[in-house]
Amino acid sequence: MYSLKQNKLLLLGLCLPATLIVAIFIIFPIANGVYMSFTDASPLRPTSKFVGFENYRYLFADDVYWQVLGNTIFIIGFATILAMLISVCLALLLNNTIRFSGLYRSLIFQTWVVPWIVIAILWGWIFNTDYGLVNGTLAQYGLIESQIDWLFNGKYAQWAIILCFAWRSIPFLMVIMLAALQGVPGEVLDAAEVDGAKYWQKTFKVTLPLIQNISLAAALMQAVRMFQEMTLPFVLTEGGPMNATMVLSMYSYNLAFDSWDFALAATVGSLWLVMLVLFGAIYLKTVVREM
Amino acid sequence: MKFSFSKLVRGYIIPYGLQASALASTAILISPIVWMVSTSLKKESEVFDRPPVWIPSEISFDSYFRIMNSFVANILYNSILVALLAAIIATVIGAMTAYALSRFAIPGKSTIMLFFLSSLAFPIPLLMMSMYILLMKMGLLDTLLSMIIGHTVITLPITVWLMKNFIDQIPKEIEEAAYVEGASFLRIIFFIVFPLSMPALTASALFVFVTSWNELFFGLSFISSPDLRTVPVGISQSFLQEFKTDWTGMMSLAVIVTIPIGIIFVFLQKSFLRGMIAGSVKG
Amino acid sequence: MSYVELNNIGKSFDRVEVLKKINLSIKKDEFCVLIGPSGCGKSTLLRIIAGLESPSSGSLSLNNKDVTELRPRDRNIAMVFQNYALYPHLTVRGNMEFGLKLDKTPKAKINDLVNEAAAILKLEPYLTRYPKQLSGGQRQRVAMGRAIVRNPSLFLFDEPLSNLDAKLRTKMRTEIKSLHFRLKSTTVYVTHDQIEAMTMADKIVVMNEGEIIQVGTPLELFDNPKNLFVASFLGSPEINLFEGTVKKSSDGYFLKLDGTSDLNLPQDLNFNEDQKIIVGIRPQSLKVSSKSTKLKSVVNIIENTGTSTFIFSTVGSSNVCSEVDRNLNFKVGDDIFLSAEPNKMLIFNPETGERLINEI
Repeated sequence: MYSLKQNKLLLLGLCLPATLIVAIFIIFPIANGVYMSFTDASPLRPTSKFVGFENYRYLFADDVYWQVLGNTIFIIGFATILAMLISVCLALLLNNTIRFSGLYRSLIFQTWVVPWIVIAILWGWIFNTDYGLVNGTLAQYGLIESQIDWLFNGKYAQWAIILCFAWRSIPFLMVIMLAALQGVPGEVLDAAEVDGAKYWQKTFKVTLPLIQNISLAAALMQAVRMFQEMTLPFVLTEGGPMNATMVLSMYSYNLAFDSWDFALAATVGSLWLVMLVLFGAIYLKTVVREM
Repeated sequence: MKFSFSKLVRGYIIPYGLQASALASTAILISPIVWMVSTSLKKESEVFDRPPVWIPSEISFDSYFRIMNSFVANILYNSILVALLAAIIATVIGAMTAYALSRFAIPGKSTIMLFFLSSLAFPIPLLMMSMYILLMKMGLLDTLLSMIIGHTVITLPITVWLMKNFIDQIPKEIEEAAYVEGASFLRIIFFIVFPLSMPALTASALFVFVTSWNELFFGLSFISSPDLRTVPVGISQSFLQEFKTDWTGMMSLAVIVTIPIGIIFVFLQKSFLRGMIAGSVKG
Repeated sequence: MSYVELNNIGKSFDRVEVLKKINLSIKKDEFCVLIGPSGCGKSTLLRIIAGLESPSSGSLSLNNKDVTELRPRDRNIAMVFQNYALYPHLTVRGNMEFGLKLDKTPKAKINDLVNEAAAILKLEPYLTRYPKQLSGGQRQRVAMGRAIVRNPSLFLFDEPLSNLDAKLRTKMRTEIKSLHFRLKSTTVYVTHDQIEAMTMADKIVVMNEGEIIQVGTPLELFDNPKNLFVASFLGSPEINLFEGTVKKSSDGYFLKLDGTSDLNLPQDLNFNEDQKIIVGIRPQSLKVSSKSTKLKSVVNIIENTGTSTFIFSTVGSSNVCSEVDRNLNFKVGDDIFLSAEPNKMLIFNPETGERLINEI
């Protein structure tokens, strides 16, 4: 119906707003950001000069950077794995003909819209050392003898964040996997049953392999989104104690808007971009090619 | 009747077992929210009780009245304004672009779509720095518009992605039929394609709204006037300091700022899921 | 006088030529069917007539007016699509009045037109329903209703029946035909189903690989196909083809087939001895002879459709089909003798596939 030649004006009208926004506010900032990583740019300085790989050299020699990178991968990795395991089980469970399964799904999915700032203060309350729900419940059943300093001990604080990230990822992953499960053709499962497969065999040999790609894609999407998420550590632990919950996004944000060191923040961002490109290339080579 | 063990398992143990596990997992997953609401309704005296009390012995709305002031009204107003405008702008612009990407033989289409998808993972602080400089030069720092722009920018790629995948599934013939009947392109887009894309439009608008409602850092760095703060900024910048140990008050505020988005979501969840799944499962 | 006139229409998508210099004229009130295997360009040609695609070369006129550059809405046409393309968010009434509203037709007139079309198509009980609440046949009718109400100067159908089941297809075929008889509207109808073409068309256009192979009435094409492609495309079961070498005996010319069988050729034609030819005989003309002939065959399968009985048998290495009287009792494995009237034989050149008539 349309041709690029005859409907130029329509095409232009449809694409112009988005093109402008993307060009000015995404492509330019990224290009400029990468450029800034080779300068000593800062809003506190009127001019900036080119410094080559100085920022990169500084960052690679900085223990904090490596600690933050390690934290981020640890937190997001465990949160994603945990969320995936729970979501698969939940999706398989709710995919049975259970009464109220629609209601359960809605209730769980409803938690997905609770704002991050609310989660941050809620988590602060739940993991509160003296009056928190977690310590209270553990003590009630005699599982702990003294209160645990959840948010003031590096390892525990990381796990509090991991639990929160996982909890937050579950609704979305579960819903995607339920949709994928519903897309598994009934005939295939009937065929497996006729061939004599038991429930577990059907699940592990037929159902799960069939939804594997969608689930993996959803998990990766969720993981990269978590990379951007910094409200929780920012408000709940302020990255502490001792940078234990400092994640890459928050680290870079603090460098930019707390220390006003745009150059170093841009360097962190550029390295993040490099990781993203590598990650994307691997993803395209493995997951997409199989689809 | 003969007793049969396998009948017992199939008829009772499995169905009830499944029901019980579904109920238990749902309960555990929503328990933080329940705890939030429960705390907000407690009397100050009951908050610190050990072991934890789930159902308040006496429902009290005191804390709601205590924290409900002009500051809270103001941050709610700002958030609604920013989220609503960002949702409308990002969705309309995204849908227009998505339509063009779906129906025109634009060269490099798959690369463009890949770029949009990967923007999900872009380092936001990297974007924010240059945006900060640009907005400063435009004189837009410390305005709600700067936040609307920021939220539109970070969500636009997703709306394009969602909408394109959805529009791809609308048969072209419907539009051709309208075209043969004499409908103009604009009429086809606004009276045929957009109404048919309602689930995807809802999904993307809601996605933008939720993202905007959640977003703390644009507000934190672009806004300096206290009366322009949105919900997350207001809470993190003033409320947390002021109400540090007032847990019922904090939980009441948490409930209050969750309610607007929660109610929208209750009504639009189905539509949202339909649009989201149709738009994302393909990719 | 011709009503639709296609002059040298050509169309290429990225260097792939899908239509090559198409010339075709369609008379007023004619029901013209475009038929051919998938990928032959018939749908593209229809879309060019509709104005949904523009031709790379050539021109198109409608009612003596050049419409090549006109948009569809300025051509006064209506089109029925394969998947119906109903507007899912509008009711049946909404679907039918959509185009009229765009033309700013007065409200009262719209109502009259819609009600009239609904009556013709027996859609009155469904006017307030949505497309997804209708069966396949009803949706098909709504799609036609949407076309009828606009009283177009040309109806275009793009494989409209291919999504229906066999029974409904036969029914809708008659309905479309009687509708055409009633409305006397010029129609271009695309299909790949030769039965639809044979039963509905005033004029059939057979296409292959972007070219028109032959144009004519159904019977003309059936009886006098121009080449092997047309001969085998039309007719069900397919025409039987015998390939062999012309030989001459005391009785005249005959065709030497591989194996031991021979086939007598029409004696009024001049063959060259040792010439290779293909002889086509339709199943209806390939009779089982009670006398012994030189065309001996073994029964493979007997197919009884109730109205007719077909025998599939083997001659040499090839399978042939003949329609027989259902009262004849044959069994699989029986030896039978086949024969055909010489004037029912179609002779083709095996290299070009063209029909040989006079040039021999």
